[in-house]
Amino acid sequence: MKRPFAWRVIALYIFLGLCVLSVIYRLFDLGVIDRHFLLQQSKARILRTVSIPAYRGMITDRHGQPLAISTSVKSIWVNPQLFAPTAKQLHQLSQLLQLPQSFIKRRGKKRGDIEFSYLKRRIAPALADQIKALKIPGVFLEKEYKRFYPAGEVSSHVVGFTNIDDQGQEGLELAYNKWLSGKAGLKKVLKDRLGHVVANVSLLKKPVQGRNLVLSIDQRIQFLAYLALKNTVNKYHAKAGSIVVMNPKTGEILAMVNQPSFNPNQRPSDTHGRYRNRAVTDIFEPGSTMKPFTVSLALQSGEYTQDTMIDTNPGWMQVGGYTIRDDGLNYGKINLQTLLKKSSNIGAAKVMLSLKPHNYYILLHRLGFGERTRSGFPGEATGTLADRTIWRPSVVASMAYGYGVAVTALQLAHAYCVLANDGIKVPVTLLKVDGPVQGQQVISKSIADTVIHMLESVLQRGGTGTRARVPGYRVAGKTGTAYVAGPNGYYKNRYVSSFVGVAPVTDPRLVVAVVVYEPKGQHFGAYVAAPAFAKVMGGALRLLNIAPDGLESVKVR
Amino acid sequence: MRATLRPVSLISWKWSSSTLAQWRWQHIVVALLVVLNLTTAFALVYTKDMHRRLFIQYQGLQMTHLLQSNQWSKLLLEQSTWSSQSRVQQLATTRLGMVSPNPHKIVMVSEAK
Repeated sequence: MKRPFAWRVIALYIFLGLCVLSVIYRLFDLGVIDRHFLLQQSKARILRTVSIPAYRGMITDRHGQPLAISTSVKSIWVNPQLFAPTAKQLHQLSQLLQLPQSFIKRRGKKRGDIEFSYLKRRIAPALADQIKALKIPGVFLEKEYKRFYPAGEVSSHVVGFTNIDDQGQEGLELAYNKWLSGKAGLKKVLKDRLGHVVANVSLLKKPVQGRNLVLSIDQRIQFLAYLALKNTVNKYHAKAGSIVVMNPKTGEILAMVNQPSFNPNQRPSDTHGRYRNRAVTDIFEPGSTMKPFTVSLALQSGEYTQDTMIDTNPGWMQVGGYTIRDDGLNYGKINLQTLLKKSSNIGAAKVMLSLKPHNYYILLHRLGFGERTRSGFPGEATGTLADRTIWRPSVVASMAYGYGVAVTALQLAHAYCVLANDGIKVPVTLLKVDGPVQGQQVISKSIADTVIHMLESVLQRGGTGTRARVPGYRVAGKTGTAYVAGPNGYYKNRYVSSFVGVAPVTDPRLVVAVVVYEPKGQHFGAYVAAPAFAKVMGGALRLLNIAPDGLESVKVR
Repeated sequence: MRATLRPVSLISWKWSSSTLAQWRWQHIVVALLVVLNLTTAFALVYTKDMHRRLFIQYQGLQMTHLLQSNQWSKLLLEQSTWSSQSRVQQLATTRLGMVSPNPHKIVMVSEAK
């Protein structure tokens, strides 16, 4: 039987077939030809780039005592598009933040498309919780890191401080900024619609975590030195002062303190030179503390021995157009040891005038004077040490007792470390040292030992350094009292008092250098600097459990 | 109505005309493939779910780690502030009345030989 032509069914099937074909085509189109569109849409919804934060490392002293730590604190920010406080809330906010209401209103005012505006950065967590509890719309908390310095003004010069963006500004925070801060990383993640991270896609940039810095500083000795220096500077109304304590065997700086100082947690806006680490940046003419190096040169030249006598009669001498005096005393014929013990300027001048001054320049240069100490601290001063083509006798003579060169307290301490360490110069470091250190023989061992033994007599009866004695220990050292130079010559009443010493003499473990700038009243290094030295050296020897080697001088049971 | 069903009946009619042996072998293969398909599909769902769960756990642990390391640095700061040299010195001299002994008051005792 012939059926009527079912054209409607066929048409329907063709139509459905076309629909299916078009769907398949679209599928093919989106899936193969133009993948980009769908991928882009998906990425826009769920793919996010997130930064991996790197936290600033801690600075600790050699025993792990923290000197600089970062902790998380909250910062308050407003979204001006959403900020809508009631009058009461605004008042409360202003009270808690200690900010005027007008300031808050200005920050929260809608201007353009701005969605972010800080109200107050880095506030205490307790305060932040209170503000959170107010539940003001548009006010949010952000986590930031703030640097704290538990040691306060004691270690402030060495450690330094950071600015509000956590970048080091001064001191070791600046010098080791890269090491401490690390680098933030980047990673791609998938987030769901609630904002939770669902999967890690890829690591774009690996983060470098901030690393800790272990210093060579011993905080106990640091505090002890700071206290002694502060007392000395206050007692004599001095302009400033520095103390450096070093380990001659390893070159480690165990303490470095200065006055005036500052509290890095609450930096005052007036500077008054308090931010300078004077032990490293300020130079001065050292005076008599350089005489041991004159004596070293004398012994080194072979022209002098321990018994060679020098005639200092009548107690003054003319060199060039200048008169050199031994403080109005006539010491007569003295040997090198007495030269140091009494601190005879004439003796030193006569010795130096009989030797080649160029050799003295070389010796001082090898001891580290006239060049940067390279301790790792930023902004070190080089000091002044010049080799002259023509050496005028007055210049030569004055160099013998410490004028004509300018040094820093650290350079002075370092040079005495050479004497204390059998003539071996070990590089100075502010970081903790593990294991033995390679040094360089600058002076022969016998000369270094001889000079140290001569310096021991300075603290014995008749010497200038009797106030620097530490009971129970054998100590060697030298006092120094130098005039301060001005534009028109030396000031009559401004001095730099110093004392540098080494202990115990049998096996030197510590070198302490005390420098006091412009004390009033007393000015001799023997009176001003030596007692501070005794306190610091005695305390440090005891703290480090170094056995006493001078027990003959004390009562022993 | 019958017209629309006719193509469908044509297809099934063709299918049912295969031999019994062929029909069984094909049936097993297809069934196996279907089972395999379902298994892999469920395995995929399962692993993706496990991944999500573990990831959430991982994130949670990371958050805990962050909070605890924060807490640690805060405690470290607190400890160093409480035990700072100047504070201990101040407490020792004022509250406890301690003094640093005068060198003359120190007695050295030697080891018994």
